[in-house]
Amino acid sequence: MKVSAALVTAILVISLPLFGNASRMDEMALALIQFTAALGLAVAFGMAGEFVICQASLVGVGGYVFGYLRLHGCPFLLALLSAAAAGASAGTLLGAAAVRVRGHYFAILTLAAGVVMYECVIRFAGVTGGAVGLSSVPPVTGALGTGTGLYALISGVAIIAALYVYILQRTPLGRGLIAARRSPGLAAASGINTSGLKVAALAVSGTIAAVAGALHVQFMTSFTPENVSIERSVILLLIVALAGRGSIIGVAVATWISEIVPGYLRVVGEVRFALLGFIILMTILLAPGGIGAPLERIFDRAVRVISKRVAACFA
Amino acid sequence: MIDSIIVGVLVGASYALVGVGLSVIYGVLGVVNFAHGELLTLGALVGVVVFRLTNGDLLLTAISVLFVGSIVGLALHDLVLRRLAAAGASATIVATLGLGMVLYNTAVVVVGRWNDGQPLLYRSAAGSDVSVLGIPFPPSVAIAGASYSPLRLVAGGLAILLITIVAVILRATQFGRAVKAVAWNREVAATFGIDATRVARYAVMFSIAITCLAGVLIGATVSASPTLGAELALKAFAVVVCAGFGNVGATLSVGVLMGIVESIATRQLGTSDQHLWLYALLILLLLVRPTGLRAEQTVEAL
Repeated sequence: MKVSAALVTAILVISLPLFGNASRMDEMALALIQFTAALGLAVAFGMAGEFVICQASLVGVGGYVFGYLRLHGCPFLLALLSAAAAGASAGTLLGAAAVRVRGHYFAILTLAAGVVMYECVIRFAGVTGGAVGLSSVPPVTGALGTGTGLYALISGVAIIAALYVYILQRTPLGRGLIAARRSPGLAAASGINTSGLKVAALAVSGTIAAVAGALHVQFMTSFTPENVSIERSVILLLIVALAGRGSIIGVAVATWISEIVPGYLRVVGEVRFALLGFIILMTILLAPGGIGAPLERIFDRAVRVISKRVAACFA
Repeated sequence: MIDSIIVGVLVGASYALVGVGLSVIYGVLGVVNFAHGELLTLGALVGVVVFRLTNGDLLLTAISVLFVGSIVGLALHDLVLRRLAAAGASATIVATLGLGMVLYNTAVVVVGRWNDGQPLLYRSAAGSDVSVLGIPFPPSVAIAGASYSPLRLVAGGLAILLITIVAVILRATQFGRAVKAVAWNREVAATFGIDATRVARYAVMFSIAITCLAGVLIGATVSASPTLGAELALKAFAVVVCAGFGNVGATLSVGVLMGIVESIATRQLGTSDQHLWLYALLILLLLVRPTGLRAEQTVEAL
């Protein structure tokens, strides 16, 4: 991804509240949280190439750990860190499974794991609140107590996550991950620890997802089992796949399509998901490699043209 | 007991047919169709409509749904799967997941408007529950002192017939051999004069048609609801994983066996935790045998 594309991503993320009035801030915050969770998946699926169809479960691990701790008087930061640690552990477990179980079989394993997570959430009502979910999580004291303060934190985390993935793609670690996906045999032969990298990628993915879940709980002050449903996981996977491999701007635009556009069209409930499925199907038919690469080309050209014009003005 | 075995055979036959459908598509195109469960729902819902229109003729319903399924399969292959073949597995998975979302949510909306969101039963307008080619069946059939629903008996008979036909088509016909050849090696098959695209098209049509028909069978036994397919598809995944992708014979037997075991277990143990344990078991199975119980892609057995 070029610098211009990064710039456009950042502007898109920061300016999201400008697309609506204050009453739509909830929607925007949730879109940013979804963007963050999808970025985690961009590492696991986009870079490492693992079909994780239970990303919403990892979000849920963070959400429920955070919510439970907060409801039992734990301070914000400690609960957030615990949620991140829980997400990292869950991601590591998935990574260990990914080393052993490959390809389509891993996709089916994660699908089953998502169902098990959902059923467990319904059953263990003492911790999770069962089918009703957690509610009335206490607000944070201080600057984060207001909606705006929390919104700023959520955008900050989203931008840090995007920067992290951007930098990760340019480190030997990230390049090793991509190499291990493209050609596992060659990567291993050139001394890359492919299994270790895979576990690390899923641990990172789990951590980012769990943090997103924790922020969701704090912002909405509630969490329902609907948030860990298979459909949520599928939507997250679709966002990353629609973006194209490892394209952050693709993830941003795909999140925008899935979270904001249906709101503008004023469709709710199942009609919204049906429409979303249709948009995704059409987009992937028109751009089978994902929307990331074409978008980056368009933005690069736009920036070149604009900078040339600006330079001409001063010449 | 016999009734729960009949239900078991029917449910198992659906697992087997959906599993075979998944397996055949995976064989010829190398992708997993994640919209498979929703296509089964489509079959079940179209089936309810035809069943009511024909005053409960299960055979006519089956034939019409086979036709609808073939058309949908043709569209799926020509408009989606073939176009995305060059773009890799990721694009196909996205497309089929997206298609599944469209179908599932449309089904929820339609059933919500039509029947208040309640599952639809295969009930005809006339007094008789079920008929075949205009000949009505009595409202209940007594065998050895116990009475059974004729709808379930007819559906059970159709399921066994269908499984036999599917096995024969894939093992003993020119089409079945062509599917096997393309699954083994597309290029070599093309060199020997097999039109791989055409075989793939027919294979997808075949697989979607039997999946839709499985929807009719399961809908006639239990009821047709929008969530029917997603649940069944996951169990079909479990069956295919146990049997190994591409292994049709094993898929059929494992599917029927799993249906019978599940039906008897539900009857004896209750229904509360069955999903949790089934999927926990599936995860455990995958961790112990990462490519399923059988070796991956045994072409000879296809």
